[in-house]
Amino acid sequence: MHQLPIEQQILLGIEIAALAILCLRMCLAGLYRVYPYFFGYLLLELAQALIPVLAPLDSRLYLDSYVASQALIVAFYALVVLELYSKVLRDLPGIAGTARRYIKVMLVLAIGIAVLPLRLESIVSSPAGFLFAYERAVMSSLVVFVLLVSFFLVYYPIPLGRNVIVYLMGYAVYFLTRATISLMINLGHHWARQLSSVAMAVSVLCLVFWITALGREGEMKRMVVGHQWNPADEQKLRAQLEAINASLLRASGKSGAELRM
Amino acid sequence: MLFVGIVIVLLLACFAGLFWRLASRFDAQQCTAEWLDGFSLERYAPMERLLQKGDLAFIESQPGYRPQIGKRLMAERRKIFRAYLRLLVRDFNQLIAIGKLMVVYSIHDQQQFARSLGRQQVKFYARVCTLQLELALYPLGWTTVDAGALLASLGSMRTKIQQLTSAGPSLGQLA
Repeated sequence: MHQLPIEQQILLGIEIAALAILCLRMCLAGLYRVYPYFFGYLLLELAQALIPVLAPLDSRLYLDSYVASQALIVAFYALVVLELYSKVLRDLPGIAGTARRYIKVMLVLAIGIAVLPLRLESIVSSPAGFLFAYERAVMSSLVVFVLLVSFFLVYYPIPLGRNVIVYLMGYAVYFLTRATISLMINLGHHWARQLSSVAMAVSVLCLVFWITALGREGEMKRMVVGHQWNPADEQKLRAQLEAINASLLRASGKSGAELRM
Repeated sequence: MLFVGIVIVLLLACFAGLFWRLASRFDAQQCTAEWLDGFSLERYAPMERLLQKGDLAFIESQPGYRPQIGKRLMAERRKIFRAYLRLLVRDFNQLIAIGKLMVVYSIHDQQQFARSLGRQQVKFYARVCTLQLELALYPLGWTTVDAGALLASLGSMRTKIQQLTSAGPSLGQLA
C-alpha cells in the first residue's frame, strides 16, 4: 500500500471496508447461503485487496499472489453469473428447456464475440500478460452474456426478485468497466495509473450499490409493472391464470381434460 | 479508441433500456379471462373488403362522379384499415403475452410451443411491415393489400394457445 498513488490508497481503504461490510451484510441477511459463489467471490476480493497492504508492489510475492488470486477471481466471475441465472430459472419447468437452449447458444455467441479482439491485443509473454488477456476475454464474454440473457428475462414474464435485478445492474457496470480497461491496456494504451484508479473507483461504487440495495426482503419481492409484489397480487395472478385456463377449456369444448399440441 | 467508446456507449444504452424494462415488468393483469372470452376474429372481417376495388368501381359508375371523390374514399378507407391493423397487432400481442405467461407458469416443459410462439411472432411482424409498405404504395397503383394472412396468423395463435391448456398451470413458483 505504501507504494500506491495516494488516490489508490484511499480507494483501496474504502474498498476493503466496503467488502467487509458487504460480507457482513450478506451473513446477517442469510444471503451467503442463497448466493454462495457470490459470497466466495467477495471473500476472495477481500483477500486480494489486502495483498498490497502486506507486500511491497515491486516484490515477487505481490506479483505471484496477485496473478494467482486474480485468475481465481476471474473464474468466480463466471460462476457468479451462472449461479444467478440458474437461481432465476430454477423453479420454472415450463421454460426450462427453452432457457437451457438459449443460454447454450448465447454462451457460444458471447465467447465468440469476446475472442475477436485477441488478434489486435499485444500480449506480453509472461504470467501477468496471459492473465490480462484471459481476464479481458472472460470479462467481455460475461458482458455480452449478461446482456443477451437479460433480453431473455425481458421477453418472458419471469418473476424476478429485487436482489436479482440489483445484482444484474452491478455486474453489468462492473464487467463492462473491467473489460474496457483490460482491453485498453492490452491494446497498448499505457495509462496504468489512471485506468487502475478508474477500475478501483467503479469497484467501490458497485460495492456501495450492493450494500445499500441488497437485502433479505429483496429475495421475496417480484418486480411486476414497476411496483412491488405482495401476497394480494400473488392471489390475483393465481386466480387470473386459473380463469384463463377455464376460458380456454370452455372455448375448446373440453372440461378439465389435458389437451396436447 | 473512438470505436471502443462508441461500442461502450451503445452497450450502456442497451443495459439501461433492458434494466428499465426489467424493473417495469410486463403487466399480467392485462391478460384476463374476460378479454379472452370477448376475443373474436369476426371483428376483423371488414378488413378483407375495405380496400377492394368493387366499391370504387360502383361509385365510378355513378353520375356526377369525380376522381377526387374516389381518392377521398380510398384515403379514408386506408385510414380505417390502418386503425384495424393497429387493433389487430394489439390483439396479437395480447395473445402472445398470454402464451408467454402460460409457458412460464406451465408444469411441463414447453420448449416446442415457446419456439413456435417466437416464429409466429417474427412472421406476423414481418407481414405487418409488408402490409404497411403495400398501404403506402396503394395510392401509386399497388392494388394487392391482403390482410388474410395476418388474420389466419391470429387465428392460428389462438388455436395454439388453446391447445396448450392443461388441467392447471403450475403456480408453485409464485410462493
